[in-house]
Amino acid sequence: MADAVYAVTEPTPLGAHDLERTLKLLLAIGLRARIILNFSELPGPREKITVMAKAFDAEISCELPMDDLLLKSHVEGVPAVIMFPDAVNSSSMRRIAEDIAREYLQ
Amino acid sequence: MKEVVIISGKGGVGKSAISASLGAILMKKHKVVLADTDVDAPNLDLFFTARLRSSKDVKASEKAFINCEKCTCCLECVEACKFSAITVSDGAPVLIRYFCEGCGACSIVCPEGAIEIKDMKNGNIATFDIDNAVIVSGELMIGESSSGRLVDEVKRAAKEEGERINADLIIIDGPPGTGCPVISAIKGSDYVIAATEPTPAALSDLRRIFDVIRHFDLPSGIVINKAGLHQASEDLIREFAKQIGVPILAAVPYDMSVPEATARAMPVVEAYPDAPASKGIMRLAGVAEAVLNEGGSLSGIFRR
Repeated sequence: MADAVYAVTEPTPLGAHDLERTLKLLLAIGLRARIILNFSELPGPREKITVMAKAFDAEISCELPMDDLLLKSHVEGVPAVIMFPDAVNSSSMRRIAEDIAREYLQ
Repeated sequence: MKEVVIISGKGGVGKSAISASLGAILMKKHKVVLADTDVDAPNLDLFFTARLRSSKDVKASEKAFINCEKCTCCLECVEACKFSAITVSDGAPVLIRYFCEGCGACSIVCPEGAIEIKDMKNGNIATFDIDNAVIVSGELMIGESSSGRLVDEVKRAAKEEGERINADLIIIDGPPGTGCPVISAIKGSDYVIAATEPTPAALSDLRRIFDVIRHFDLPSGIVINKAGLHQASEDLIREFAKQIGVPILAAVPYDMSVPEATARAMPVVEAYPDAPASKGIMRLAGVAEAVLNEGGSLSGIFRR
């Protein structure tokens, strides 16, 4: 069983639908999710995801807005934190990595 | 009635968005059934104003059941289970149903005959009416297994709907990956559209998906979604397509209209018909339409 689960979603009806299934599964096996909201400023049902997170006691731990630098690193096949270490999203992902390291590697 | 399946190997390349738009275009002129076989995360109906007509449970899975009255707690089943689906509580075996694959190993080793493998409900199939078409959608129950068998059932139900409405075409939105449910989605189809994007990861998965497709000896083509993102990767995809003798059916430009349309729960061709991506999908639809008009072998169209 995993020690921590990050559920990555996006504020679209599709993202909300799949997130709900993921959260139900995690609830069934006794794990709590941390949510990463990718493409966070898309004009979709953000409120639905917020309400869902609360209902499942899942924390939205990080929001990643749309970012051309993230896209560029993706198409180059290089992690954004390496290719564009100063990008806002790279900072967010470093913070998640630091959280994981603090909680599970020490 | 032809069956066209859209698969991608890699998730997130835009397979469902393309399927929804392709369906939206073709249903204006033809009788179409859309089949959602991405049973872990079915989304196709969300793109449309879909009215649920019926829903039925499907028993396409098997699980172990331990009869406590017969069990002598020898725990041989715990040793035999390779999925860690049987744990021990107070000296007795306890099945964790979400981990059970129904393989039957526990049942074989049990000296008391205390374990039975039973058919289990593992999903449901919903049929939706939309203005010009029908959507048949399979959904795996949370944590359940045997998604491939559920995909078989979805395709069977889609074919029945197709026969009922005398459909010209079934468009199958396939699952991601290269495993069992993908194989179920492909088998019996007339044509395979492999959606990809110009990234190293997508090309790697495209190679893997064609390893699967070639076993079925089906005509197939590639659609490059998010074209223009990375020329070097796009060149590699074209080179790969040439190597294996598979045509590039269309290139759909990278276009923010697609995620924005998805956020509005609409096919991009409906939300933003003049967007570059919509025009690319319309070109793809033209090729798919050629399949319908051929009325015979597909190879003459797609391999020319």
